[in-house]
Amino acid sequence: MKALLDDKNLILKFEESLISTTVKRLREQYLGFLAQTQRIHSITFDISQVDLIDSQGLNFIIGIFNETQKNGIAFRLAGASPANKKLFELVNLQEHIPVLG
Amino acid sequence: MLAGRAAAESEKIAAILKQIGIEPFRAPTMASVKQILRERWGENLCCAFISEDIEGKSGLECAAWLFQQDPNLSCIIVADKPDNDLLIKSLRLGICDAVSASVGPEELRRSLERAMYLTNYRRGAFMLAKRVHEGSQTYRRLVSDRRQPALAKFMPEYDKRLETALFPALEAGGDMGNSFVLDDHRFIMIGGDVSGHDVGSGFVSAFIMGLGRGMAAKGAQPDEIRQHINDFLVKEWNPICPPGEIIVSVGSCPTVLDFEKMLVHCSCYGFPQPVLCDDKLKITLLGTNNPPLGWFDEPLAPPIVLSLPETGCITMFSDGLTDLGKSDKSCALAMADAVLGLSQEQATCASILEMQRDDIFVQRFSWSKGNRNDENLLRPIFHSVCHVSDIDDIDNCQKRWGTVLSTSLPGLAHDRRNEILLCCREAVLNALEHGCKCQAGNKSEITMACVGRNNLKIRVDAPKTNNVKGAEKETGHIPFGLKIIKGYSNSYDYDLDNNVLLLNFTLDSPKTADPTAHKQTFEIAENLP
Repeated sequence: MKALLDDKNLILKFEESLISTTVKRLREQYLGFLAQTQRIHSITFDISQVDLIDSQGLNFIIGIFNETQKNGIAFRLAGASPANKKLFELVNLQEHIPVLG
Repeated sequence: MLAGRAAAESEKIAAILKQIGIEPFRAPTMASVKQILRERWGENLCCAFISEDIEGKSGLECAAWLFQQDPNLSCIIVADKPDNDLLIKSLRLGICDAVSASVGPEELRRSLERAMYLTNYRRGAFMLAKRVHEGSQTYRRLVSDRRQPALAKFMPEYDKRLETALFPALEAGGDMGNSFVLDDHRFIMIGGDVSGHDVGSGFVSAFIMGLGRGMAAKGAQPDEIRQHINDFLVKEWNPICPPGEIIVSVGSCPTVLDFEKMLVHCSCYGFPQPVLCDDKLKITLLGTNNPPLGWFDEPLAPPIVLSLPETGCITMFSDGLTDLGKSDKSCALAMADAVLGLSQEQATCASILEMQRDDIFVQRFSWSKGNRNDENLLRPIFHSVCHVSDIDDIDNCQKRWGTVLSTSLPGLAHDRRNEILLCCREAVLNALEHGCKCQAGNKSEITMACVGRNNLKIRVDAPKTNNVKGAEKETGHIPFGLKIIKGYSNSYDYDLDNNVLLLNFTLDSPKTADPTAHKQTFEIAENLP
């Protein structure tokens, strides 16, 4: 995972699948990035290179989303492939979280 | 052969070659290269030194022509100063080395030795593949496709498909197999393995095949044939075994399918148990493990009798295939499907020879009642047991499933493959997390089979698994894993009595997302990790 801080917008670029065997580590990395940054206004998950998202990957995204909502930080997903968009539609995720193509 | 090159430099290389006892053919022009190949075709040439240019043409063109004539011949390109461009083009073409025109004797010797080794190795492998192919052809003559018309008339209310493949490791090989119609209602499949891999084993296997076929034609029952073969080996063949030689034993698994009584009779003697798969993808191993024929002068264990499903498939294979399955970290059913595919394409055996150490025999018979134009015929492609410890290793399990899907369904779109894999992952994890963890040592199983031309069926079973309908009913909330399974599969069924989840996927028209079908509201907070 790569992090890019653009003004007060944190962009996290994922380079592997968001699945049960990776999400724990990714969450720790995410918390690490967050601890290093000052107050931020928005977080974008760039998932353009994510091939597969399983139920734990969805839980990971939703968990982060809920945390950002509590802290008044905007959250969005960017670079979703058609397959991942289809998955989000399947679980109605896009009704709660902005999903950009 | 020295192809091209100015006379002086050619003489220099020739002199060095002479020092190590090799007399090269000289071919200063392309015409003479062709003439040498015509006249000295074959084994006399073990390496070609080709000049960077011959009569104003590229030496690579000459090499390409030589490869066309003999793909096993090693070629070395000789250049004034080999540059990157030439090296890359040479590598792409399959040139084994590039040397400078001012090459020294030691460097030339090393290059030549390597080229000769490569030529000999490739020729050896080619001959082996050719012999194996000839062995397969012998088998195809012994077990000809004339079985198919007889099979078509047998039990006409059933759709049927019979596939066989034999890849002997060396020449004739000891594996064998056959199948034929016994009477109006019974069909017999036989798989066998004579100890050894040589011509002698091939002879014994042909003899036994003929013996069995002849006795069956005279109305002998399978039990009688089996007993007769055992008696022949124990009382006639092995007692006159020359001193120092190992006695002959025969692994065998005669399997009789009785479509009148809907029973399958199977005896297994020193041979892998045939695998029965029904339309619910339940896997049953037929027969029991008994010693091979030819070991003991005792009455043989009777066949095990099980009921025969109206739609099903029996796959039988020799231990060469199970070994191949282990080395490939796949499973026997997946390898059987791959081997039958290779055989159907009349593929040269070279690809399978790279992995193969033993004869491989596979026979698969699928049937379905109802004359639905093969729509229900099964092609099992995977079966594996998953243990609780596999939760942390689920990525490797998924990799195996992915490999099997890619091999058995090469036209499957990437996204559809991912959808299927995701469903398998969710279903197996769900079974292991919620079903198996509660019971020490428990396990889940996953089975995959193609059904007809465009359908894939997947079965996941485990004890006390949270099930689709149960979870929905009990909590009013559907976990993401189940939403994924319901969303991506074209249909699913949950057998509450046996804790079996059965998924169906259509392969030619991937299901598009229909958000309205899953429009139930759910609280995101509920899904926090």
